[in-house]
Amino acid sequence: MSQSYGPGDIRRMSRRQFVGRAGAAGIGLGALAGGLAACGGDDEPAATPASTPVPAATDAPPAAAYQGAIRIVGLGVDLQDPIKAAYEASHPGVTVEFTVKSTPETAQIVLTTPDTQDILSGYFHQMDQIWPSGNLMVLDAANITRWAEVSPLHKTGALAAGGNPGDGDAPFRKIFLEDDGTTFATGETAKLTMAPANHNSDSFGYNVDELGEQDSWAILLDPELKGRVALIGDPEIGLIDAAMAAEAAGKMTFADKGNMTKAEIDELLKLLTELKKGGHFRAFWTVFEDSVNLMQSGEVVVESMWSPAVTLLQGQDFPVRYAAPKEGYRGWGGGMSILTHVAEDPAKLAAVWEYINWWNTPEPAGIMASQGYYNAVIDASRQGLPAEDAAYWLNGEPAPKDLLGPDGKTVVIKSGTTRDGGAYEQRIGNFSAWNSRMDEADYVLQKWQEFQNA
Amino acid sequence: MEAAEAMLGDATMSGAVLATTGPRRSGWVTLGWAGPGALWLLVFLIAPVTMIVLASFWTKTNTGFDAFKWTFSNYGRLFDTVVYREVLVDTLKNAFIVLVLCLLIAYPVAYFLAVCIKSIRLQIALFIVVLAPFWTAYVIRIIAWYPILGRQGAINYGLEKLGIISAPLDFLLFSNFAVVLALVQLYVLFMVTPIFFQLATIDQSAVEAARDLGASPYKVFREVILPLSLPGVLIGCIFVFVLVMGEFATVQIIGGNQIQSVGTIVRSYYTNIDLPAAAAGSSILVAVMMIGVAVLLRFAKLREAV
Repeated sequence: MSQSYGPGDIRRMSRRQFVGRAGAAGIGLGALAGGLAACGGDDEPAATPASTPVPAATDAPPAAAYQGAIRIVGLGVDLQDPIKAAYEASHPGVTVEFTVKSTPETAQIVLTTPDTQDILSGYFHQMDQIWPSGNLMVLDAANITRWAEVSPLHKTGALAAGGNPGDGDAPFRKIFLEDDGTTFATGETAKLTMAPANHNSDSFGYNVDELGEQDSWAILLDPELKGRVALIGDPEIGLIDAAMAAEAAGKMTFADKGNMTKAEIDELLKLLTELKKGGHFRAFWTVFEDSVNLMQSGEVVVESMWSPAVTLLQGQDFPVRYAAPKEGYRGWGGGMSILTHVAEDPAKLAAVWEYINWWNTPEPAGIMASQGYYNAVIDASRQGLPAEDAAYWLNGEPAPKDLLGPDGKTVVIKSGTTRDGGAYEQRIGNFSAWNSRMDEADYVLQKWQEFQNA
Repeated sequence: MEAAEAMLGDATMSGAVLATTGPRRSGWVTLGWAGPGALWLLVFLIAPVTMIVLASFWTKTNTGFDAFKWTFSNYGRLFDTVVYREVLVDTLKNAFIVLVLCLLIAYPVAYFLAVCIKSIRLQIALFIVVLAPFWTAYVIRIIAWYPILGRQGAINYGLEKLGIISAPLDFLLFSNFAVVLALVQLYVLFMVTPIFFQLATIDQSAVEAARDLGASPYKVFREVILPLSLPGVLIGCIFVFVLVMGEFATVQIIGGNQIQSVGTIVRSYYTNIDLPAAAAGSSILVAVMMIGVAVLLRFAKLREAV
């Protein structure tokens, strides 16, 4: 029972073949991870019964509590100082070491120097690329304390029955594994690639003074806005944003925007190249700050944006809005994976699970929610926020008072404003596509380079 | 380094017998002086470059690379499309333009500082002023161009107020023009500094001798000052050429990803976790830079011989 959305057969095939080859070639880690999961760990080192991913080891003596560092590699999204401080304050003897990198760099570290980290705080769309390496452990859903409360977004795809799960690497497509520990499963299983951590929806930001209210991705391709449009420069995410715009403008259709065919990539980039040559795009931004600068300096009036960039500008009274596109958002889902080597140290493994489970508790969920990010257990976000803050961040109501940022000092949300896109259920109820790793990633890169050089 | 090792071997072997003889001792001294530099070069230059060249022959896999399967295909992939070739030519072109502009700006500045200013104290004070842009962070120096070159920036605002243009000029920012401008601003100091120091070392008696022999100020410059300053010019050129060829961050930010350099292409491969292609792209870049530096050196030698 492997997943069956879109033209995924090639993807599956090459993954199996790869893992087979890697095992045969003596790399063996993929086989090891699979083996651990499949055999139930007869020769497993001792582990604490409460938090081991190995069910058969329950008769082993409990390990001594871990003292020392937990090393986590991920993005600045969640690897923040307030998070570190909160964890260390509530877990004496344990320190967390954050290594903040870009998404590709986190993959690079997990692939090339896996022993240097204990947890990958990454994204579900990285799993296509990372999972076959065998450097990540198969996780048992039973070890996740609040698994029953984890959002259906991570399990079945849509928040409510009939909701649009969107194209591409949605968390529910990349979280479950078959018994072999290598193949992604379509339905719920107990074997996971990542423990669900956060999710959110991205769209585009626009200058409401210049454009009025906007609710369609098509605006990114509007010829009247020539020279006032920017896209994110990342090849795949930029391409997905452009695909949503092309689809919304009625210029193209896609079988799966999260996994385009070569023909679709060619057609889309032909369209984009013509626009670019006519001076349609002002810039392609690389880092968060670029997107803020572009909007603030008036270089662009509409661009791909991330939620915190919009919040930042709104906090400075800049007339920017974050669109709630009628075609749906581009979603992203974050999770935590354990590096395979951690299993060698049962005490550390228990400590790592403790961190992962701590993530779905009110304290960290509240810190994240006050920046607009949703915890995989949304009740944890709700429990972690004061009622006034939850009104704005989760309920889509006007902020009853000025709301402070995670530093507890700066006002980030002015009293009376309402979050763009509304309540949690609205913002998470409609996805057009998810951040994805495409089968044709190499082709995308090559064509994107040609496009940027055009 | 080989020479140093040979020397070390030689010295160790014969050291026991001839430990106190003069030439041997000076061998040790030479080694002592050369050692740290050689070690530095080995660790920070030769080893990484060797590693990059080796990595360019690795095989790309879905999850990274296979270092045991060797292939030329990474170079093939680079030239599958015209992009890398075009970008390499564009990067060379930009490096040349920036080099010439830096030289045109830097020489008069350095000349003024070293020759026209007679007070050493004032010289140093003004040189520090020249260095002032280096006191701010690299990215700030790039982003500072936004309010000047942007659509609502100083230049467009001024021109519109004066009625010279009716719509903002888009080519000022996120264009090759902007990239060249920013690179000149960033690297002109690497040209000013060596030329300044070279000019400052010129023996004033040579200049006076030329004057006493009736040379015109132009002739003094042409026959005495310019030739003597050429080593500084050469070092400046090498600095600027090498720095501009390897640029990616400036190009990316000020070019708005509308302009590419070899550096941005390499980075995009790296971002795609295609280390072998990134290494191949870098190896070609290193080779081109070495050829460029060799050409510069040859050029300077010819001039010295004139």
